[in-house]
Amino acid sequence: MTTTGILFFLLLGGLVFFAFGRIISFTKSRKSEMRFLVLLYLSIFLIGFGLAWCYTSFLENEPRAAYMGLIVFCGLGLVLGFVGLWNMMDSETAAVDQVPDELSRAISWKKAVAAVLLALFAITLPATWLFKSATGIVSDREQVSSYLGEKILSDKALPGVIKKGLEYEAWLTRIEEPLMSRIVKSAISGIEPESMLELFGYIAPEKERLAMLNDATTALYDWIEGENTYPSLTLQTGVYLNNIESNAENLVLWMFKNFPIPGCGSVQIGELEQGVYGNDLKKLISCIPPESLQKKIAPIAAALLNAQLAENSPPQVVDVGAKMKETAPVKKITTAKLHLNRVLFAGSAIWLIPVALLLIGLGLVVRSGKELAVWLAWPFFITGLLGLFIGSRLPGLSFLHSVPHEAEVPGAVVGIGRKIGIDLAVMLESAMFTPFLILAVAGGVMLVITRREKIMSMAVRMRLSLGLVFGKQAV
Amino acid sequence: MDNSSDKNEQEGKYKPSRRELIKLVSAAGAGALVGGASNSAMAASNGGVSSQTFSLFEKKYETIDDMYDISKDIRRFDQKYTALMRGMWDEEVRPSTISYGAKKSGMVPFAQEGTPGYSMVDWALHWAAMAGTNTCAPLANLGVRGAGNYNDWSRHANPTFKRQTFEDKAEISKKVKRAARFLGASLAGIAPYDERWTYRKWFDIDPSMMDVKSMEIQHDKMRETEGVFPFKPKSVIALAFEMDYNALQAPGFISGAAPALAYSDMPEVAFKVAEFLNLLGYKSIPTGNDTGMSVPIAVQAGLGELSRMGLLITKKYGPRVRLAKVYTDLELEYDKPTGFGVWEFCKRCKKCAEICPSGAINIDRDPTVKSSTGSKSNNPGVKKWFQRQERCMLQFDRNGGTGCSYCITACPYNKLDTWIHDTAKLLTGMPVGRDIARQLDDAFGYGKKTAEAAEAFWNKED
Repeated sequence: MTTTGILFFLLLGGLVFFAFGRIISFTKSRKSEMRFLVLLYLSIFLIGFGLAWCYTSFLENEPRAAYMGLIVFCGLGLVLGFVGLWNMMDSETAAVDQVPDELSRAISWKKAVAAVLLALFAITLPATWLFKSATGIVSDREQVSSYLGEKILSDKALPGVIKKGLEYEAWLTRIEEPLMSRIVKSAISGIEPESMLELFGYIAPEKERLAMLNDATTALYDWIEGENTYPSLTLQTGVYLNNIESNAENLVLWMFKNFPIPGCGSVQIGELEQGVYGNDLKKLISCIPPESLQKKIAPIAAALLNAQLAENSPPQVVDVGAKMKETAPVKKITTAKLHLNRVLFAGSAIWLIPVALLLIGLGLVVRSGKELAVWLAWPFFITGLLGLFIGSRLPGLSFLHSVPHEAEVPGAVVGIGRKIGIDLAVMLESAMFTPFLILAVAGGVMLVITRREKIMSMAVRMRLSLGLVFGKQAV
Repeated sequence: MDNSSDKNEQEGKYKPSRRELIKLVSAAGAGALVGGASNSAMAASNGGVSSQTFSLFEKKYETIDDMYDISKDIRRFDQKYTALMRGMWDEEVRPSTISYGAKKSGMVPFAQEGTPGYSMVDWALHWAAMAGTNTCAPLANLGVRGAGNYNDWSRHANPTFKRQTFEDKAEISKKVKRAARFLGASLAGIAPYDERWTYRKWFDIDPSMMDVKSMEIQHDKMRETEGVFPFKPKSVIALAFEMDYNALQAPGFISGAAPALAYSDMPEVAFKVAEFLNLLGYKSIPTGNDTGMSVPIAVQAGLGELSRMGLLITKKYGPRVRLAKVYTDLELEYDKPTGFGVWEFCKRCKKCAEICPSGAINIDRDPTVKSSTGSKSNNPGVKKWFQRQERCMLQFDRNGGTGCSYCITACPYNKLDTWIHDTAKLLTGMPVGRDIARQLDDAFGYGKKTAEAAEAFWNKED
């Protein structure tokens, strides 16, 4: 690093020094004004500073600071340099050119209004398109159902989702949470994904999970789109209770195999060998017995588990609609549903506003095909770039990745919610990419075609000036 | 002019033209830029060189009472009520502390396992960094006094060597600080002994008190002792230990390894400094988090300023330090408390409070003399920002037993001491510049723990 660092800064210092020298001779030969000289000096200084900043920041392992330094300092330096050179050339040209016709410079009110409307179009289209895409994804029942099935509840995805939930449970542990609860959660987090799936195979196999998901999404979207005040959704929990009952023995054996609880002591093993099991399920499974005893204990523990289930008699069916009726009054639920539908409608239609602005703006000034290309080029190019930029930033949104703070909801909900948020951001990124890439390319092509002559003339002048600055042969 | 020019030429002296002079000055400037920048760039890789930027607006005080608003009836604090010690006996903090310990020791899995910073390699690094204190000064990081070879009070409180006399206090003070730095401290300063910062009662626990398997604490192995030294200390040598910048940027056990390493260095270096004083015939006691409050002593020793988060901010490392101190009966020349704008910057910045995941850090704009947090670990009587320290313990547990350093990492003063940060340092000294400095700190992405930093930490080459 030492040699590289010395070489880098020597080279940079040399280049800055050389550039300063060339600017002096360049501006002197052209008898330029002092303000251009200052701008060019400042430009070179900022570019050099930006490069040095960038290099040092990388050494500090601060990549974002390095890129920001490059963008802020070098970017500003380039802009100042460009402004300095351009104005220098312009002032020289203006001195020899004739004074332009005042009338040709005048900007009509129509052009001014059109320019404002097109600028508004360019700025607002990405935001409204983003909103449209988000509401489009959320309101598409098939897309939502297939996403939740594939990325959340499938055998392939579920262990990862549970892991994420537990991770956030740990992150958001409350200070008053008892020690045992913390330890149990921590212990669960150590269970291997395959074992996790084995457990779900006993209680709620993939097929049954997906069937319940299908019922839930169908009922939810029927409610949102329909006239009913409350959703008619009933969850058949009895299926899972039956699974637990019929697989109780396997569940006990699974727990002995996978749950990180301590092994039984000699006193407990002695009691178990003598067939003293007791009636307390919690006590019976509080330690792991030797394998030879596990198969003996499993039916006893399974019977105790089933007895507990029968005693508590959990519901076979959960009527979600009825529960909502108990907790949320009609007015509240109607208003919430109305707001939801308004948001979804707004999402599907709001992008038409910038399109309308574009059409009005074009209508004011465009009278020919060539004028259409001239007026469309910048708005398309800018909105395309803006849309691509916004889209590319979505998956990295800081609130989806920042340190989780205190939350009102359980930590697992925060974790799974964040995972869904990131997945949604990725979907939105791809929804933004194609249309805005097309707009940016179309805008860029139109820019080149319509401003061909000006660009050529600018290139010649730039070549001339750069050639003089850096000592190459002028045109 | 002409005559003198001729004279110069006659004398064989070279006189450059104006144009040549400009070139010469520019070349010298560019050379200086190159040399300075490359030195700084090199410094970035080895921990930094001392920057004097803060010296432009620093202010020296005669005593700590001139610097801060300290109530005359301030009471000495009982060590039992520090958050770490409360973890042993207070039900409000105990579940967090025990669960944190269980995860850290690998007795139960940590939910973040497999994510960056939480691999077994990272875990091993953390424990390896901690090995020094675990072996030679057990539980010193919790504030346990006098345990292990390095913390043995009886050894250093009774020196057998002939007492040397020093007529020039300034000279010996300079040598003591130099010795401390040579022996391993990153920074060293000397404060007068001030009883207010010694715990009224020390909370002594036997390192064998915790049965790791059952996670039970044997309460009969904890006791309180009156905070009285076996001799009357006259000076306190405050020592600061730098923590690795890149490790703190990473999450999990890598981040935890940075303070762990400092904890291993602390008792070793304090032991050596105490030994140095013993060899000169003076009594001394090496301490870490125990015995007394480190931050006010370090402020008195001129090492830095108190911050919003309750930690010391040093000019060179910001809050990225751990503190130890050596009490001695050698009378030395004391350093002066030094302010360099931290107090005013903290009022506006609040970045540590905003980023703290457990809400432990006070977010009020102004500091107060009385605490309104309701935390038993607060010691009123000094105008400062009071914290909810028990929530730090909660975050230690939440982080999978890796400890927590979000506030230290986020603090805008936590930078490597390279030339590119000098501008920002200047801004912190100007009223209008403070908000700008804070905003730029965010915009440039400083102060975040990232998954990428874990990989970068392991990939870093010498």
